[in-house]
Amino acid sequence: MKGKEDLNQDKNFQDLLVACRSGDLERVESLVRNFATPINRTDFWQCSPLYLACLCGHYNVVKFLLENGARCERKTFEGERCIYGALTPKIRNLLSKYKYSKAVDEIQPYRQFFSQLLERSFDTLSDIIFKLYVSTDLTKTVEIPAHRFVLYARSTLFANNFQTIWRTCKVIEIQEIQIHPSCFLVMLRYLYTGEIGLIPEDLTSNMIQLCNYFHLDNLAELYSVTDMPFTKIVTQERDKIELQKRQQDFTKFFKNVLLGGKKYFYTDSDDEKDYKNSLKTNNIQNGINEEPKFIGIQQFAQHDTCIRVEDEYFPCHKAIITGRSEYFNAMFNGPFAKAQHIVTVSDLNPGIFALMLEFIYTDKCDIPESVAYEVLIKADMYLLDKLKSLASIVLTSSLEPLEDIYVLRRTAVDLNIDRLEQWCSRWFAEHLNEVLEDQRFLDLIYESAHSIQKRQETDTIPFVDDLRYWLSKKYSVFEGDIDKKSGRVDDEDITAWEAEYNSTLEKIDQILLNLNLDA
Amino acid sequence: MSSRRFQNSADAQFTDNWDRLAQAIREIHKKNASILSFEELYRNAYNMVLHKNGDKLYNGVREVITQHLEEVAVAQVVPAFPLSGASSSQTNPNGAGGANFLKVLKCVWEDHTTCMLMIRDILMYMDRVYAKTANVPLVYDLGLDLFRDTIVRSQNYPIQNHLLDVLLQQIKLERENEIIDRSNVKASIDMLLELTDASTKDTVYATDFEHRFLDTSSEYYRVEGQMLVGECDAPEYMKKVDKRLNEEEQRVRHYLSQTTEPKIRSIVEEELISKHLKTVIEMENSGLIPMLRNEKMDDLGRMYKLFGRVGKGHDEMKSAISDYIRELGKAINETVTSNSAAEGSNVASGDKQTGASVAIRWVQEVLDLKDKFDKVQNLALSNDKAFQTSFNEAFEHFINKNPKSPEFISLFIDDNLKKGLKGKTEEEVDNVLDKTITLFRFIGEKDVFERYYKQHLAKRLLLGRSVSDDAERGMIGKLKVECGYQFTTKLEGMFNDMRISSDTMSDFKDYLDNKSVLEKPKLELSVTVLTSTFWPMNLSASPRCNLPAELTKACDSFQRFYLDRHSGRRLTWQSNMGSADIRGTFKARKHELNVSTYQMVILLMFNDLQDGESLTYEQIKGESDIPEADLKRNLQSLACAKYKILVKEPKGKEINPGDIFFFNYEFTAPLQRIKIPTVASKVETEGERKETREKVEEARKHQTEAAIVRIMKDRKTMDHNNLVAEVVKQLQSRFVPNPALIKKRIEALIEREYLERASGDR
Repeated sequence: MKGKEDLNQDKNFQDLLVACRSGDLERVESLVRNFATPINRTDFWQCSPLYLACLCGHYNVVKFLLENGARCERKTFEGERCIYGALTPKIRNLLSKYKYSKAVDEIQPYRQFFSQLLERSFDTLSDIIFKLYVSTDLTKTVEIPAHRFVLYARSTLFANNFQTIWRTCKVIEIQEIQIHPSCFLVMLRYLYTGEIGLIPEDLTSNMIQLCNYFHLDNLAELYSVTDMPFTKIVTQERDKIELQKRQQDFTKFFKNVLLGGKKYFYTDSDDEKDYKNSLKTNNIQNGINEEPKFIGIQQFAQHDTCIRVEDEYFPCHKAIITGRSEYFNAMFNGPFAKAQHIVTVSDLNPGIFALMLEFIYTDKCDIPESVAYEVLIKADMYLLDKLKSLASIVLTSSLEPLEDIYVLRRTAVDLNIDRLEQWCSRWFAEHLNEVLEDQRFLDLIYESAHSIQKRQETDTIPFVDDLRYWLSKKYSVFEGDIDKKSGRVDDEDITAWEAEYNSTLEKIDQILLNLNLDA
Repeated sequence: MSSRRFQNSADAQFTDNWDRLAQAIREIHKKNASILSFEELYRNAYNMVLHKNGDKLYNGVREVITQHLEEVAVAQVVPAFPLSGASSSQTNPNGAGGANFLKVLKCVWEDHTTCMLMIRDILMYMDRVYAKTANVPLVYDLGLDLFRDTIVRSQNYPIQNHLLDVLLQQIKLERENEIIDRSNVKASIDMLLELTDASTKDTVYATDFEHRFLDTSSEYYRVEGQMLVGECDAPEYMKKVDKRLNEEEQRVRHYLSQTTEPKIRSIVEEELISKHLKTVIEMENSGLIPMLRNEKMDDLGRMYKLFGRVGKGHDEMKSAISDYIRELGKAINETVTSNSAAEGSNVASGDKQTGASVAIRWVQEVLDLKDKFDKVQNLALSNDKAFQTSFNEAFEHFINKNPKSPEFISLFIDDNLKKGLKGKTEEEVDNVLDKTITLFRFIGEKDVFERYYKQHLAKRLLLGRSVSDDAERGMIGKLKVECGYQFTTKLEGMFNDMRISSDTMSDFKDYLDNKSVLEKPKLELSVTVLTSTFWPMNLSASPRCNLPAELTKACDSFQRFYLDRHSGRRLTWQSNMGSADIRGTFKARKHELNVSTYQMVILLMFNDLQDGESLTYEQIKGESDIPEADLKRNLQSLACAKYKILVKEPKGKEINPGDIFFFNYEFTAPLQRIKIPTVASKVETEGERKETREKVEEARKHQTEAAIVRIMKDRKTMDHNNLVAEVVKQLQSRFVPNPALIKKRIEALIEREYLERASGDR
């Protein structure tokens, strides 16, 4: 499954490169936004999408790529190459004045979410306050608010303490060591975002002391290296590692703690015994609107709300679910917000909900093929666009439809998922002979014809156009050979495939005639 | 696994879903939202949109909201209409009805927006999926539009009229210093700002309210302007206008839209300032001129600030102040002419002291006036350059109206450099001279000034009257800065002559020391050799005078000495410029007298007389051969001034032919050394003036010709008009040449064949 995804990404990446060459901004947008095509990868010849766009002089594409996190660092090979390769001075200016770090922070919503969570911790439902003593004046304290679940997820020490000595604390006073507030903030920032902030030299020892105190060994190590190589390349590499580490931490926290180790879908890699063990619910229910007593590790989830789906209870953190989903934001922060601790979401399978939560908490989601369609529908319903693209990627990575092809095609149109729609059209083109007689297929053509309101004679039928396109691909018909008027290949020496192509078109035309449509 | 439901049950489900939603919206309107479940409602709306019933849902919501708003209009808004209807709301003096109406409207608006936020949350999916593809406004915006059409611009009830009237009335009340509840007004205004007009895409505030507000304001201030102009004096008026402007600005800041600020400001400015500019400036006893007269800097400053807001304000002020300056200048000029007319009648009696004091008083008055307006400029007009220019023009105008101004200014400087400096510090001197220079700048005929200045400087230098060499040089430096190197070369030459002469004198002394006693003159002689072109003396008309033999001998000895050293030069004695120290024996004691050369000549004549003998005027005149005017002046200072060395019969201030003079043995004075002042002719007599004038004209002719030749040498060919223009340009730093004069000079040059007409040109 992993391999397939990679393969798919490869194809997307190739598409992205082509789109960058040709300056097809829409395609670039769709590939980056919907399919999360890696923007900073390079191809066999070390060309990045940004480089190609610069070389071919597509200002708008360059701008889009930069805004979406494409890197252009002067000191790197790729960066220099972009600047020297830029076709116009306008592009060169754009490149040289764009600040990489800022762009990335603003663009990557997930990372941005955490940095906002920290920056505005007072109004983002922080549930713990750290009290630090100011070293110069011991009567004064600095209060730093934070979120328990972030710290729990990211640090073993915090997790242990939250389970034991700090279990009921609202305010934690740190008296054992003197901590400079800015050091503490840098540490928090690291825990929240994975960023390694710069510390003034005179505070380094304090920072190391702090890291040791909280058992953040690798962070302490980073700051102990006296001449930290803070070049941008190294920073970027390390940032990448730290980001991955953070995502792993949250995934672990989510799967083990929030779900209490429960698995909703059986996969090949799972040990069957584990899976079955995990199936029993970890909570004891009291009444329908009362919070169940979580047992096992779930009781340490540090949650402040609880969502019931069918008979399952999910401990959740308002801070993250309201911040990452408009739907939950309206539910918890809007005028409908209620005091009650428990919220029920109906008409939903707990497994699907668990996947949704996984996406909300970790920004990624392993969607089993068996539920991809269901996830797609729910992602649409709860307005989780990125999850929607993830699901559609799963659906379109399969060779055969994972759901009834006619349903898929209609859903694609209804939910406006171009990728899935194209995939369906392609499938129909491949299997045209099997479906040609099927009434359901005829219905689709009919629906597509009527999707355009006040259709006129000259308007085409989008579905049929797509079919023709994929047919021409199937029979390897050269675009230049197609007669514009008839759509047929109109050549002296026609190949067997081209003949077959022509006859297939004949059949479609016949269908259209039967349906009383003209296209 | 598919969650898609199909059409068979869709209709039933639609009705079911919609009933629940409609009911929920009604509950929201009833503020019963707490019984509702967001999760369920969201799902209902989602299902409807998913099953292609987005349009039905959308329209249904529209209907429910409209219906509710209609009910609100009837049940809440209409009953709150101010009692006696909009038009007669004035009968309700404190506007309580209006305030209440606004309060109700505020409540209604707040309720509506709260409800809409909840409805928006429920219908989030509809907004995202249906509204976007169907290209209809998002549900919250729909709510705003419905509110606009059902409440604010209701077709059924005159809510709009009432609202606008009440708002305008509240503002009017506040303008009349009533206290109103700004928060209510602000709420309504904010509401209008949030609503959008469908056709113009502008806010309802802009389309419905703003122009009416501006119209009423315009009317209000028109009336107020007329009333205030009638009631208040100018400072009071301006204070009120200032207050009004501040009030309106505050009002906009507190509860109107910032976009209105420039508009209302320009209305107040138009109605209260532009329309009454002239009236306020010309207000009797309190307008601009009285303010200037009484130096009301605050009021002037306020006027400057206020009038600067409108287009013509400063222009009007400028021209009014300039006129005033011209008027004051004219008055100063008139006192001078009336004084000199009086002087004219006194000229016969030789009272010339008055003349100089007239000049000094004139300059002093002009300087005072300048000071005054500099102060105004500085304190009230924030040193506005445009005002400065127009003031300067006014000064230039009246200063050049007085033909004697160059002489007067030169005299003023003379006076200051001669004695005025004594009690003053160097800074003060510098200050006075700097100011004088500003007056000098205004003079058109700078060459005339130069001539006078040269004369006065010559006297100061030769008679040793100048107080400080530094001050003199400072003054020349300032002139140089003003007019350039050429203007002062001659003046500097004069200083040079003085220096060379003192060297020459020490050489002459050495020369005499080597001579035998016989050859040595019996008196000490000090000579200043002047280069004739630098100095203002007239060579050809060098005054005759019979010097005593002793003196002639000494002069000859110097002449020999000098001409030995510098062959080819000619010396002419200017006896009218010299002075002498002589010893006189009187009855009481001996005195050393410092007298002019002429006085010395006169006094030496009495040496030959016996006690009691006398000389007549004619005898003195005949023997000394001193020119009559000088003779009279010198006799006057000997016989009629403070120190009466001679006694005159008959007594009197004037010297007349036939007078008899005796030596006054009885003369006493407290000091041993006495300086007999010459009654100096300070202001020129009419005759002298005419002479100076002629000299100036002559000099101008030469300068003009020189300029013409210079230009033509450069350009070779030039048409007449351009040539005249160029000449004017070159000469105007010295004087303003008259085109007729230039034309004459060109003709003269053609006649003398320096120029010729271009061939082909007649």
